[in-house]
Amino acid sequence: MNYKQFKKMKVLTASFVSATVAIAVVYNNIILALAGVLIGMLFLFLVRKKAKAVLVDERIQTISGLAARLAYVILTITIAFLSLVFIMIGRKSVPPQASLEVLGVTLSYIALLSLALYSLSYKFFSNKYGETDDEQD
Amino acid sequence: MNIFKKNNKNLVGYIAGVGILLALFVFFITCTQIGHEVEKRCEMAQSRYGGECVDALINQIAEASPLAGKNDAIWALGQLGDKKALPFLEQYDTGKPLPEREPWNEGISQYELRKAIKLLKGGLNLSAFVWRD
Repeated sequence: MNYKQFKKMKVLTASFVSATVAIAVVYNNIILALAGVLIGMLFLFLVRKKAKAVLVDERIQTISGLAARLAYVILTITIAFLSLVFIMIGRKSVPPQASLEVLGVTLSYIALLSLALYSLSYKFFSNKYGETDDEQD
Repeated sequence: MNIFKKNNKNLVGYIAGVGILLALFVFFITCTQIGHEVEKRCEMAQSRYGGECVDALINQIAEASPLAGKNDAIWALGQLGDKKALPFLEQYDTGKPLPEREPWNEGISQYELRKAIKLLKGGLNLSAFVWRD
């Protein structure tokens, strides 16, 4: 199965699921809706398994990796910068705006969480792929 | 088999790490929010009664009206942990067993009062180190 066929299958499955859910809504039958969604998910899972060799292509992986990294860098820097701005405005304004300061602090925690998650994930994947390479050598 | 075991161990470690990070994140955000709420109550009390935060909160509790946000003030005093407020709060403790459920805006809640007294007597306040100056 190639990528185009897989995409067609996905569209067909989505139409089937939406039709089932629509009928279920009209007849007020939640079991039918759940069954439709479950069958659709199961079908897609099986199709994806068959088409895995085609779908996991190195080019797509590299592109998505680069896009994810760029998105991460832009988002983290923006959040960190905004947090500093909010904290400063919150403290310097007269009277001090506690809500802005809290927003700034919250954003700085989000930036910190993002950095920590990135480091943890980096460590995990470097361990995972590093070990496999060593064993193969 | 060995690689599989190692990979599994790594995965478990990773999931645990992510879980701990998320839990810490929620904890710090909650603490920040608690600090903000205490500050808000202080500001409200100070705008009405003037003076320092603890004194303003004490005045708010001492007011005759039952709908003066007394329980909010008691909660804030407990969070602030200033021992100056301890003798004042203790005089409101009836010493009776706690009723099942107390209305928040009808007089002083014994549950909230005892919680605050416990904190003022040195009870553990996990969130305080994040927001107290």
